[in-house]
Amino acid sequence: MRELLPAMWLLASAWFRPDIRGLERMPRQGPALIVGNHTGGTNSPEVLISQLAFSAYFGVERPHYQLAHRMVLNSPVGSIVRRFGTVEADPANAEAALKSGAMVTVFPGGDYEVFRPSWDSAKVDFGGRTGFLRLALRNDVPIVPMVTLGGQETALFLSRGERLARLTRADRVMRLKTIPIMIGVPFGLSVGGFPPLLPLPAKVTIELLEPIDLRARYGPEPDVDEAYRELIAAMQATLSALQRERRLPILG
Amino acid sequence: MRIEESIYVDAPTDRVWALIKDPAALTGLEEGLAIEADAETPGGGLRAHYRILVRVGPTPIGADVEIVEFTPGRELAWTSLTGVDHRFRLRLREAGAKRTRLVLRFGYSSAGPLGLLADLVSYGRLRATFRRLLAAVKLEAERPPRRPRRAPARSSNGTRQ
Repeated sequence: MRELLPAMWLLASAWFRPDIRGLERMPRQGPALIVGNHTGGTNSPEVLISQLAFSAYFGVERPHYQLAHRMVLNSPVGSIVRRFGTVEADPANAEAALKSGAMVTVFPGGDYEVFRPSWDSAKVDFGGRTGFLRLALRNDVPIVPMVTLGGQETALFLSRGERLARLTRADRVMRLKTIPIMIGVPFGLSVGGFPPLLPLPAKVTIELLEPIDLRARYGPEPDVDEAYRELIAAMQATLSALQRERRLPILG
Repeated sequence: MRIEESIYVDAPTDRVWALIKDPAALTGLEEGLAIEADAETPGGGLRAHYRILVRVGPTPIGADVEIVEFTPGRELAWTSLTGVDHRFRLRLREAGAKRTRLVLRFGYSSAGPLGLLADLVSYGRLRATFRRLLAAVKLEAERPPRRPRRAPARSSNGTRQ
């Protein structure tokens, strides 16, 4: 990680011109659950950029894990992302990481949100998944919301392809609920991530919000649905504000 | 990579030392640099720990550091414990009556295959940051000491004269 950080940071900075805000709001030490909206399809620039930013800001000595779909870890980039602390999205892995005192980043929207159409770029959509709130409550760790804009401009995302996933029975056989349809470079049309696309150099803006202590805010037995609604509303307000700042797609 | 910058300050060394002896006090003098004292080693001095944040790219680069040399009126140096590997030194030398030469040295090296390239890319910005820091210290040291305000004279009935 220490050896890869300078090179990766240099490349990511040149390609995505990241603008990262609110790092000073992160808890200075101890475990935290960072909850992000997921963008950019299989390339997901915020995954790499946030990992690099946390490592640069806190030092690589502070452990930080990100949860990812098994297919990412089994892909050709799997060995690299594992070195950057990516582990399979599994509650047991997240619990173990939090118990060890690490920061853990989750993207509750997963493949549903990451392949949303480009015209829904400024929309937070976790698809009603609330497991991350129970994870934070079980481990009594603060939630740090992380809002990203720009990933959906790295290609033209046309459809999640949910109907295609059902028609081909990929949802049952491969547990894939989406077969995304995208247009990008260099091959034009891409279905289900094949052929892979090179991400367009869209400007990526990330903002971290104030940490939320669920029990301090909602009492000893928090209402998960209420916490979910308020978290989504806060993230959506930030994402909408970032979108209003944006003058041009890709250029930022 | 190694950066060395120096500046002549028209102020005695003890005045300059008073400004730099606690690195946390440098915060605010230069916007690209923030230094925070560690609560577990209050009071500063030798072996004190600080958290350093230097802005060289999209996000500040952070490191925890420890003061490894602390000679009042002459030397202050720290080395990194976490984060990017670096060494920092401020050296003060008398350069005549009520004149001080302040020297800043900063050595750093990033690991990895493109570490040298990353170091080169950040060199210009780091150098400019430290140059501005020395200029800010000079400005602060040469500032005439503020005189306590005299209370306006008042007449016997309490009105200002």
